[in-house]
Amino acid sequence: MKHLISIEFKKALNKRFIIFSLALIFLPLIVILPIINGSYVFHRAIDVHAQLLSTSPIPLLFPLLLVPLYAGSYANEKKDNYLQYVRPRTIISKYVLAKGIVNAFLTFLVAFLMIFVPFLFIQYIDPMIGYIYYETEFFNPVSIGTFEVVAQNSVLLYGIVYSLWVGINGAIYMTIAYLLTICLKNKFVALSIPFLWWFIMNFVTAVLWIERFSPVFTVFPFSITAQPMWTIFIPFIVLILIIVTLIVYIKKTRKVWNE
Amino acid sequence: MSSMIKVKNRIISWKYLIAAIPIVLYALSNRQSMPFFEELHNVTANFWDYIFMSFSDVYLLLFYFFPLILFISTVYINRTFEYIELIRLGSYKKWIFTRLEQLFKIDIFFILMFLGSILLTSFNTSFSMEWSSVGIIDISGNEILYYLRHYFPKPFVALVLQIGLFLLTTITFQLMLCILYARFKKSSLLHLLNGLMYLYGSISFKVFPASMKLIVMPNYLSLFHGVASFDSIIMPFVIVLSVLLILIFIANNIDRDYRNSKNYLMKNLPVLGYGLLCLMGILFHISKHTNGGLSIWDGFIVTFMGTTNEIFTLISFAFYIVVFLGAVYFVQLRLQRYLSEMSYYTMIRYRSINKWFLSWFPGILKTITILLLTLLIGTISIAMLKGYSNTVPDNLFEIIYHFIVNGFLQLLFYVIFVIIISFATKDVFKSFITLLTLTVFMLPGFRLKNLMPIGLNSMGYVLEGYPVFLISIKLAVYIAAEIIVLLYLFNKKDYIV
Repeated sequence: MKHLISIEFKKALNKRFIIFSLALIFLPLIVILPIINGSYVFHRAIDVHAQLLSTSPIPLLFPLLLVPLYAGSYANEKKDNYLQYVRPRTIISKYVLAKGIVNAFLTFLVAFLMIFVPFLFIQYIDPMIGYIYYETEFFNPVSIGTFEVVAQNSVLLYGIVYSLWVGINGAIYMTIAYLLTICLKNKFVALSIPFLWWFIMNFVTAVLWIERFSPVFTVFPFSITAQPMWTIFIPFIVLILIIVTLIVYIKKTRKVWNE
Repeated sequence: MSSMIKVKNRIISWKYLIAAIPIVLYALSNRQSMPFFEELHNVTANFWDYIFMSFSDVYLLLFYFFPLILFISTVYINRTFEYIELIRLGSYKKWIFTRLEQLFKIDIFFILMFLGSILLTSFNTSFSMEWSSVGIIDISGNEILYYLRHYFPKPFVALVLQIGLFLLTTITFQLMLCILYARFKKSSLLHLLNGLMYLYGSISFKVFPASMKLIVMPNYLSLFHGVASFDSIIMPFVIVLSVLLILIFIANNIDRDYRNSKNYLMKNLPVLGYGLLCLMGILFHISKHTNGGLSIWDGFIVTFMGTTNEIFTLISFAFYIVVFLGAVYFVQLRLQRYLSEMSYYTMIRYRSINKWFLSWFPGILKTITILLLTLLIGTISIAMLKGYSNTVPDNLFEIIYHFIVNGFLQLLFYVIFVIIISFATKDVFKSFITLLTLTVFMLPGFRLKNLMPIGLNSMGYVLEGYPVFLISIKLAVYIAAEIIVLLYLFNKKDYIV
């Protein structure tokens, strides 16, 4: 199993993956930060961080941005008849499990860094450079949403907890995408469903006036008034249930073994 | 043998008369308490008061009479089901309706029994064709007579309608039992359902707030309860009748083979979902501005507002993406199928990739036109139904032109764009990512002076007075460029799918 996982890591960490994840981590800082710097009034570093995220297309496209990392690997290997040659060499269910673990872990890591690196830059490095313009005269901090409670205790804790939260959500969405590529023959549909869920559920919750349970606003709670902490776990639990259902379905129909 | 079958199939038994005893006792206790009431409020009761006190009583109907009929019906359905009879009748549909006919006899028998027992207990009371003065008093405990007198001019009408409502509801539930039995053939299921119904009835009676009147059981059993909750005489009847019609429709189609239609449904599930989302969005926008004094065309503009440099709300942005990129998603699904099924045989059949393309592309253009017209007509009619005013604005032509022509060009741009990316990369998913990433240019601040051909058919432009013909020209130029790229792609010599 360890061997399988290390092979998967080697396969995953290619040039394309590294360029893409570096783009995800640093592009917001390079492109969005100059746009928002000066056009909004900032009091605290975390305000800048929140504004950076809500201005960038990340909340809009979150599950879509993470798909190119590794979620489609099973579908690609099936399409290229690679799996056929894996079968005699290892136990296929372990192989698929290793792939799922690597996919979840890498997605988690990239999503975590995507939030945490800008946070580190804005909170700790920028004060030394003094690039961002802060309003100091009228101190009137605005709430940054649901996670404000954590930020009141410790800013570093906020950075870590919030990045972890986004990372876990990213890993869960991509695990769903990965499991769907096993369940469905159509790769395009399988990989687009997490995004469709993300976007359509956001739309539906907005239309039904229950925006606080929207998938977008529970992961990126910046454009919504602060909600109690438990609300963010409702869509999360739904996602966990979806994962469990998919795993049970794959096991019951023996999808991996029969194809 | 024949006598045994007769016993087995006998519908009505004299044993059922025992069921009248609790009714008689209940009605007698009602009669006992009436003199106190008369004395206390200084009124005189007549025959009708005694009748309705028991006959419209929610407790008696909900906890005793209605469940009893359902229980006896269940036992009867279960006892008399035979495959021989089913063969003779020929279909489940006929079996259901034959059974229903017999159950109807049971209902009539029971209702007559009920009426008989309360007539018996109201014996020797003063009779008149008018309401007595008891119904004037509006206190808790006297709701039955108060509301019945309030809504119905004559007690006789109320009696007929009460019988009608109860009969209708009972028949509806019996039909449901028959359908379920025909489908599953398990009496335990029916008994379980009856039990749950009993529980649900009591919960809906005692716990549910008044706003949930639609699903409160007593509203359909007791006339006064239903009429008072809906504040309308017809509503309870209409609701039960519509449920009954739906069940009759189901019963009529119960013999069909559903595997095909299930496949058909599964295939069209995305289209259904898309239609539902569009409808939800339209309803949301339209009902948000009801009573705002807007005209139907204003409502239309608000619904398909989209985004411009000045106007941006998350919900209209989301709705724009759901409607227009949702439509493009179906093109992508088709492309995925074409690309995965494409082979040299396809090329041999169509002679060239250009001809192959022309074989399906016009269909997409037609679909886009139909979609836009449906959205236009649908939104306008919903706005009209919601009471928007009918005034015609000065720029009506501009509105329709912008929505239909620019909408068509914009969707055409998306579709060709998606086709180009999918063909160039041989991966439809990449076109999905690219197109959605381009929607970033719809966010405020990223518009780049409206140069990017994304979201240019937002109705916000009409509101801002932006020249709509300029948008058409821009889009046309972009589409021309796309067509050149597409032609180049299709006619490249080394192009192999």
